[in-house]
Amino acid sequence: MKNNFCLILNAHLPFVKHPEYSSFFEEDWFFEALTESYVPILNVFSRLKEDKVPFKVVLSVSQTLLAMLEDEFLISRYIKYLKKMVELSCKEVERTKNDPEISLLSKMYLEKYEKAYNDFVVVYKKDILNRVKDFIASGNFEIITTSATHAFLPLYESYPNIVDSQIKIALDNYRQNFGVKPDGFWLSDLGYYPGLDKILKKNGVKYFFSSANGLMLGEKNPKYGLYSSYKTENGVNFLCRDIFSTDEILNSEKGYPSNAVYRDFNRDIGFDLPFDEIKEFLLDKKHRIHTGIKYYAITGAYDKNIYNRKVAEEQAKKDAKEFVKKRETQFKNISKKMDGDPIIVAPFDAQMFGHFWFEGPIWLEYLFRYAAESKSFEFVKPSEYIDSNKNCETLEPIFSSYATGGFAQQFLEGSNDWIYINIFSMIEKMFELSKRYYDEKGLKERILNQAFRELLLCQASDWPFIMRLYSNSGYAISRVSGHIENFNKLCDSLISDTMDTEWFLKLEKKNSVFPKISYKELNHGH
Amino acid sequence: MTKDDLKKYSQKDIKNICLKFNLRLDDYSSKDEVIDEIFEILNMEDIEVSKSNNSIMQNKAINFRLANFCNFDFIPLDDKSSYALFNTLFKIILKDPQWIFVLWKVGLKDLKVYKLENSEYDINLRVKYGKAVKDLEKAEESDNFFDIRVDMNDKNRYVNLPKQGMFYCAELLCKKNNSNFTILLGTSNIIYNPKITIHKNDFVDVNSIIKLNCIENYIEEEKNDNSTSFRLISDSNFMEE
Repeated sequence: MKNNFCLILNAHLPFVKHPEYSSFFEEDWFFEALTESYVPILNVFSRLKEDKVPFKVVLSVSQTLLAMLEDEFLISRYIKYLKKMVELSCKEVERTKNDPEISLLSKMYLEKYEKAYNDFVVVYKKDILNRVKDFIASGNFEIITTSATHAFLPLYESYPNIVDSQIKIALDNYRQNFGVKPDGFWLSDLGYYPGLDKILKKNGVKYFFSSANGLMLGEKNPKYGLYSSYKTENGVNFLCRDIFSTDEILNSEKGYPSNAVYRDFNRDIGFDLPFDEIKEFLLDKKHRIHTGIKYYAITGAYDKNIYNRKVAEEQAKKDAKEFVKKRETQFKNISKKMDGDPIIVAPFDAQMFGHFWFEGPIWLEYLFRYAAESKSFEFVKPSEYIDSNKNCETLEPIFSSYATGGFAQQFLEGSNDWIYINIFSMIEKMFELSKRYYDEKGLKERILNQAFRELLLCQASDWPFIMRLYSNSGYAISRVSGHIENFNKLCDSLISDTMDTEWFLKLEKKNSVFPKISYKELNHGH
Repeated sequence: MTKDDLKKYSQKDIKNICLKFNLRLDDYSSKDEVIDEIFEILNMEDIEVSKSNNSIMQNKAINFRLANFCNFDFIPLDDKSSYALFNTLFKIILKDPQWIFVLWKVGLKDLKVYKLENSEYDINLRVKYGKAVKDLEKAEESDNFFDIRVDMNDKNRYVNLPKQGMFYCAELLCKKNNSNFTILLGTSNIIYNPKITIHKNDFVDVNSIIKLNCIENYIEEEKNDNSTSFRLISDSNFMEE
């Protein structure tokens, strides 16, 4: 019997690009994710490769993130960001030179940002996707994708053609980047509704993932619970998220990242230092923000200890060892009741490792190292497991998601429900226009394609999710309102045969996702 | 066709004409009242009803006629028209096994045709349910429906669902003050509200899944002598928001 463990890293960020400003706070989401998570994670896998430690990982890359990774404008701004962080770290080394404990940490940050600059510019030559492609070629990575703008698809069930577009555009864009279509599909927040499998199948998707509640709370009791693959009536395979192994990291109170010795994410010099000392690095030199330099450990609620890097790193290794031990026990319990080979599927947001959980990349690295020593389970790619489990049970998940509450509550409630009538109106208008202007060329075609982009960008699940959190909801509101406004202005221009070309060219340059998108696709097969 | 011409039609024919205009007739109305209402509500002096069996053609003909009646500058879809929503948008979205979100935007056509822009009227949401999609057609006969009156300026409403494991759809109905007609402005999409089932599974503690996903809202805890089990919150425990 072979015990299979499938680790999924979900890399997604909404498309944020603001060339109309000299700098833009929300672009930092991308820069921080690159510096603290994406590049360090690739470095982890490079070290494992060098040390010949076996590893297999599923990497889900959203098309909006892919677009940002390939955007020259954003990459040039990222390099400026790294330089700015090196400059801030240098200032911190100077400022803290008389404090032996903090001084160690300020030097750590300087080293970290200098390394980040060197890795990105010299080692990866400003393109981390090349390293990803190497890992695909060596069989270590299986890359999958998600809906084009990470739309939460159950909310668009009444528009199957829009759901189809979200899936098809993502797959086409993926193929343009990686040369092949992915076998698997990561449904945003694992949002599923009965019938979605038909659209996935039509687009050539061979497998997807379901939430635990989607599988376990349906009318049919799955024979092997969360630990096998299943097949829908329409012949699409799916695997299920193991809520127990993922909870060991994601549980906000008991999860590994909440250990008191780990670095505190919330305590940042952007808030700690006197305003005049830090203002050059704040938002518009006016508003306090997280800079990324944090000197304290989680400790307790009030008195914080200075962060001790060595202690925290040792703890991350211990936690990785414990995780492996717990999986050994988990597999032992599952295997004795199972006829075939079990699988545990553990998906995580890639940003968890490094950005939110500073020591996460160390944990990740030692997960593979300890698992290789233990030999009690193997890392596996979903397609490999599915091939070995062809006679699996047939059933279908219910309408569900893995977001808090288990359904669509995070994306549909008082703070964000106003967006749907607007998005649905846009969809109706987009269909109407695509029928009326079914074969346009030149400028009109570009206007229609841009209108389609605005509609897709408006559908990103990030916006209702952020609106619900209230913090920073202003940006999410302005993004949705902005896309609605752009869309309507584009439609107006089309109908009235007048176009403010300067405005249009700027918009095309700004919201530049999916360069090969075609509004004409909306009419195909509908 | 004038009022006098219309009076020559049978009650059944007139009912069919009403249906074509999405008008629902209160049973107590007399034939003359109905005819007066048709002319009143559409604010026209003459109507023409296509006898073609082709429903698409009929709809086009009706749309065209309606547009003319109210002097609305309607240009057919496949030619040129304003980008503003012409038809009424009416949808339901499943939020969770207890709630749907009903949302609507009355289109230009209905605003003009039924003269709603400067009128006082009531909006009624009729929510229908059934075990199969085909049951929704007869939901009213089997009493599987409920009505919710909303303010004419409202644009959406969360509606509590009475049962799980059912298909749902809704109708957007409008009634002008002092009118015998209810106007059907829109019929929604159909959604399926899943039936949550708590199984005893050899591999997974389902109660843990419920707790970790915070799904307790849909589940009731039952304490027995020796154990704790979960069951669904009573099907009848629903209410209008």
